[in-house]
Amino acid sequence: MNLDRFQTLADAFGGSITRWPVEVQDAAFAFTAASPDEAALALAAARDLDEDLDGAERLSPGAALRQRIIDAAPKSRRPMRTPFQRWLAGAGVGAGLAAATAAGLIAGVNLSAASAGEDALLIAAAYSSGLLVDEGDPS
Amino acid sequence: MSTEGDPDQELIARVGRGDPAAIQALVARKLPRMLQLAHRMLNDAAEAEDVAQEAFLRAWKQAPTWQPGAARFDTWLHRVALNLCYDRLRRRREVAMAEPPEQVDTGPAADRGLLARDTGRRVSAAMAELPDRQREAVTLCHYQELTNIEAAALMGVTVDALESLLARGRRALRAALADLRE
Repeated sequence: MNLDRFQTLADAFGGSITRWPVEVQDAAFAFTAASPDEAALALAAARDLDEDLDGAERLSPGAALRQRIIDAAPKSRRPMRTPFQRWLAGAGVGAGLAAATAAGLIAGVNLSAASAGEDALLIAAAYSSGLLVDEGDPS
Repeated sequence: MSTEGDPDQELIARVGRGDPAAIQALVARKLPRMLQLAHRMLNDAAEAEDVAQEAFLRAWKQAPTWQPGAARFDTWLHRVALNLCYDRLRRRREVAMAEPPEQVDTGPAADRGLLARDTGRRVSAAMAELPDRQREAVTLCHYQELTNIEAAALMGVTVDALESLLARGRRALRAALADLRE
């Protein structure tokens, strides 16, 4: 590496050789060892500009911006808990049926109960809606 | 550009599943970088916030179907934010052509001593005066601390062309800020 190349790299990448492209760093350090005065001059000028650039105004994200972004993020999808619930979802009735159950079919029962209880409620709702038929029912 | 060892990959997968902790972590990790990128490119705090927010909205849409392999997430997000910046710079030019602004001399004359002492504002103004591609190169390499290979790939230029953009941009900055060192 000669002085011209060293100067060009300092002009482009700044006063710290460790921030130069990896593939030229060894040669740059070798040049610095061989021509310390010329290298120091080139690096000092570049380092001055680095310091000026580091003094530029910096924006910090405000809480309001952060919150707006977080509020727009994907919402957690609640996983299905049982094979029966997954089957209902496959039949295209899971969510609607659960809502209908909550709204009117079995008033007063908490749907967030244990999964076995939820299945029982959904089964009852499925019978009520005609999705399931009790073949033992003479009617 | 290689995506091997993308440090954001696992986080993006969790964001795609709506994991609140992952969402918080990604915003903490990337928002300051995106805000700084947009601020350096646009020299306008309000516009920089708009760009950062829009970039994240696009990331949220992308996260559930993010396919590792095409690009690192950080590179992709930089590309999105830069495109949004260039949209705004283009619009500014269209407005400027329709309504030429008053000429404001921001040079370092003696009667602007107060401004000359305000290094931060002087640097921002000097950056804003650079041609867009030189400003982009300096922003990516100095402020975003991307490697020359990453920055060149992001800008769609060779590493030699990037080096040329950087050298010209930094020489112009040094000339514009020379009086700070007097």
